[in-house]
Amino acid sequence: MPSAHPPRRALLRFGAAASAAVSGSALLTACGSGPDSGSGKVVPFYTTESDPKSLAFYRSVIREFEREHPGVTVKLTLYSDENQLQYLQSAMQTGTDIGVFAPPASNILDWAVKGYLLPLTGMIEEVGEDDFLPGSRITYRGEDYAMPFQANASVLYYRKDLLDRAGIAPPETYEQFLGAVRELHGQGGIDGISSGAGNTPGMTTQFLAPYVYQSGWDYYGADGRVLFGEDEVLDGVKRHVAIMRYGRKGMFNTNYPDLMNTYISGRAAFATMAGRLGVNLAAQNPKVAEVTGVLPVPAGPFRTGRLAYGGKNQYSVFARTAHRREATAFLKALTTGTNALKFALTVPGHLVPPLKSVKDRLRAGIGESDDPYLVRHGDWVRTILDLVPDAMSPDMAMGSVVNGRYAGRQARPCPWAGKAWAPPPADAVMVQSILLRGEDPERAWRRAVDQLEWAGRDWRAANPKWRADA
Amino acid sequence: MRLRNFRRAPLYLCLALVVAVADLPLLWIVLTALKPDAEIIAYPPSFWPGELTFDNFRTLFEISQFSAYLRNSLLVSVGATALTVLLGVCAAYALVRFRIPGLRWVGELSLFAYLVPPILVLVPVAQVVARFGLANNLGALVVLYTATLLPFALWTLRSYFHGLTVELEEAAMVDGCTRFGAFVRVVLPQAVPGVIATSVFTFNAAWSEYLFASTLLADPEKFTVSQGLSLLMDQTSVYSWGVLMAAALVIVTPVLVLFVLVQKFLVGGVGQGAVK
Amino acid sequence: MTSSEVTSREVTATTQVRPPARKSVPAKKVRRGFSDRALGTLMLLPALLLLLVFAVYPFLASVFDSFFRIDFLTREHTFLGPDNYRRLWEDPAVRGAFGRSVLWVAANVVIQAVLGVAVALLLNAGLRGQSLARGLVLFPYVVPAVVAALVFRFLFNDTSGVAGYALRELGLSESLANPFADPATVLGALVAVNCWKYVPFVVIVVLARLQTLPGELKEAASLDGAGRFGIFRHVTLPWIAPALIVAMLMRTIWTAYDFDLPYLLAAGGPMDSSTTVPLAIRKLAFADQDLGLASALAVCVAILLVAGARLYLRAYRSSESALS
Repeated sequence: MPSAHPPRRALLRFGAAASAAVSGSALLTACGSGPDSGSGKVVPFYTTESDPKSLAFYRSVIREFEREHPGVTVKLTLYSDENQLQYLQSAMQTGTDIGVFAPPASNILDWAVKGYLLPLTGMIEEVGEDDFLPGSRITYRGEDYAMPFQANASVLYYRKDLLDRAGIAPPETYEQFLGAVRELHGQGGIDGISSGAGNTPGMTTQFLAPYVYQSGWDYYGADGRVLFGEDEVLDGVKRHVAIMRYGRKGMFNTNYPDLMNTYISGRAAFATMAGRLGVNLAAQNPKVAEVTGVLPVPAGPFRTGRLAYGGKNQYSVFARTAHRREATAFLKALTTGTNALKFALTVPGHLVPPLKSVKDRLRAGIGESDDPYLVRHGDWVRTILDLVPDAMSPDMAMGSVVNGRYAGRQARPCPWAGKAWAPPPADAVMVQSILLRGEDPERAWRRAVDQLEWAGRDWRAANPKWRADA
Repeated sequence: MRLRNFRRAPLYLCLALVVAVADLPLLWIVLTALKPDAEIIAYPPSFWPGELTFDNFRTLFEISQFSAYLRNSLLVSVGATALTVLLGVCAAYALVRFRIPGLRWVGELSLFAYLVPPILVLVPVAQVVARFGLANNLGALVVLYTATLLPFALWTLRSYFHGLTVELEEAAMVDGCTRFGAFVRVVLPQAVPGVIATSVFTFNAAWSEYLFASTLLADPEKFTVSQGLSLLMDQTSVYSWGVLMAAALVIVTPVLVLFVLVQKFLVGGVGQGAVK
Repeated sequence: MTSSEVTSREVTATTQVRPPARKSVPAKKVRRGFSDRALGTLMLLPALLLLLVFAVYPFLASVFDSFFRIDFLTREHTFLGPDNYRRLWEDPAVRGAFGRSVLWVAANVVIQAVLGVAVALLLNAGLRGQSLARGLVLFPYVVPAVVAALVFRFLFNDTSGVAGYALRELGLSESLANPFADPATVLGALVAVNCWKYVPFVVIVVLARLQTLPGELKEAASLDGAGRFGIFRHVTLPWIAPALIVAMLMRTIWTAYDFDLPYLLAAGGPMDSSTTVPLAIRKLAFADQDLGLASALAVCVAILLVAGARLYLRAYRSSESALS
């Protein structure tokens, strides 16, 4: 640490170190090999999963992998979710080897098209193409570019006690849902719903998407055409906004933790959220957890409750990584078999395995597990697991629902998702301006449609060679 | 005397108000850090903790490496402060006292450091750092912070040196000091308030910096406190206000202590005597 | 860089107001170490080097990049000419961000300067408990932006936030409960938090300067029959002016590019109601991956700031010469 020395010497040391590094790296470049060739191979592994349990899991997988692959070291690097885009892009620009990393969902296809990602087709075939849940792979022109490691589904958490007291049955249709939210809102300082909008990427979409899907449409079609402009979607938007009016104003520019805290602290009758809320709820407020039930979100007339929002996460391998074979081997070890199951159990119900075999093992094990969360709230996890195959997000599954037809979730990432959902995202602005500025829903919706159009048009103009995988 | 105090009552009232606005948020950090989770999410909120607990601090150090973050931040901040003040004092003095053609525009040049937003400089700077092989190195942060804070130091110190009379310096030189000797023995002691203000500023800015640290440091062992806090906020499973406020308190305390220690110098009027 | 040439000429003029010390010392009596020229160069050189690498180079790189489309990974530059600048001009989102930034900077700098001087004077009035109060009032300044954002989010979150609760109990409007979620209040709330954190900066600078105010000046003024306001107007203010102007210049530039607090508290929202230029630059550079366009925006702002800096420097010069 130069800072431990008198500053002038620190500067000298810095200068010396700098010149040494420059000549050193020049030499290495001349030899045309990575900085670690010769003595062992280093596989960099970049993740944002800073949860202590997940970290402990990663460290144990790394130890095991290093034992089985002598001469290979896996170097774990944590970076923050908040600034992942600028972090990854800065790293790429400085020629840092980011090895195995999790590209943001909305940039993944763009980066695949541009050649930043290594094709993983061979590995996916080894794992078994049939083992993947439909729509969980990311392919472009016949090649796979990512290994999914997490899927989830957003569900409706509700307070059984409050519904019972008001003599209302758990809602199964949108009308019942709206009625219950309206009825319970304001009683004893409680909000009808904890659901929100905000600039966090994908957050507004998480809450709005079920209403779009259950109106029989999607944001984009398979060919990238905007479907958000169909009339039924406007009805979906109105349904969503009608529910949102029974939340507090602070929720209209918020983040996940605030939304979760509202429900956890017992201040809302309903909340729409992924499995994480259940886990946190059980840990932080068991009393409310005891009187909480979980349902699919009934958001519209088409396949009511049976189409959900679900995010997913995947790892890719950097195209310019030094040791492709070792990196791919590590990725496989990390995301398949028993390790995949162990990972899923670090946050049960939130980290849903995208491999059928693993998911089935997880579901079958719920009854026998001695995990206190699964013992108490196994029914929540089952509801979520059953919903996951039909849970999707418009930036990763373009054209899954078209004109009242749904033939399973499609694996079709939107290549301009980064632009379409760049802050402030078009759908968030729409919801916020209706709720906060009292704008006419139809006008706000038309503007969102235009913005979704522009995002696609700009990207296609810059990447004329792109064709939708049909 | 009593009349005087009475007339000054409005001033005292203002002072109380200013102190309250400045410090209530900080008091709230302390109170929340000492409350159990159940009490924090209770509604209506309670002001004083009904039950005092140190659980939040225990959890904090269990689930994160905050002691490492503190050490790293301390190294970086001390290093950057020392380097900035040393270079700043020299350069500011040279700018004020010497007439060297071509070098005077250094002062204005230094403003360039601020004319491009850090968010954009991020990429070129990361490239420079990587080219020197210093990515993921705390020393790189020291140099980088020095570079970004130097212009401020230069400008503050310059205005101090301007304010100082040259007679003492001249007398020292007549008494046989070299110019550099006069600078060290006569000028520097007079500039102490300025040097301290600059140091406090520099230390604090380095201690708080987030953007560059989070881009240039990748190894969790090398994270600084701001990064550590941001990482803690990411760990949504522990998004507990109690733990976060405990972390906030842990981050703020060292700078606050330093500030209290130094504050007497800062506004105590050291160096006034020499001017008169 | 014509503008910087102009500023350097101005400042050359400034320094010439005060005759250089060297000439007034009889040369033969001085023991010389280094020559003045060598010593001066030596003292400046390290600072100069750092500035070249970390300030001038990135600035020139930005100017260069602003004329290109740049691939993020390969850094392949495609020349566009002034296209990026035209696109900026035509982009309503950028124009909106620009307007908000002007508002944001003006409000922050004016409020911080006025309150900073007022509080500094209050803390220098010789009240009892003054040194304790000084410490307490300056505290917010050492609170890192990440922490400040966290605390204000917590205070004003409308689930368990005590400030929101208090305001609601007092019967104030509901939107006050979470001012960061309302497009009508968000910018004002951000300015308030920013001032909470940075007024102490101005206070520190002004207080330190007040310590060097020669007592005779004040005495002379009161002998001349000046009232309290007169002393402030004719003695105190001119004395603190140079320091205050430099502080304001710094605050102007930093506030113009302040990213952390606005981002962490409101992320530019709701909608785009708190998206200022730095947030727009971040979006252009990283979300849209358009480094060229982001650079063009930064260059535009830099040019404006240079113009602003000139005004400050002019004020600085006249405040300095007023003193001597």
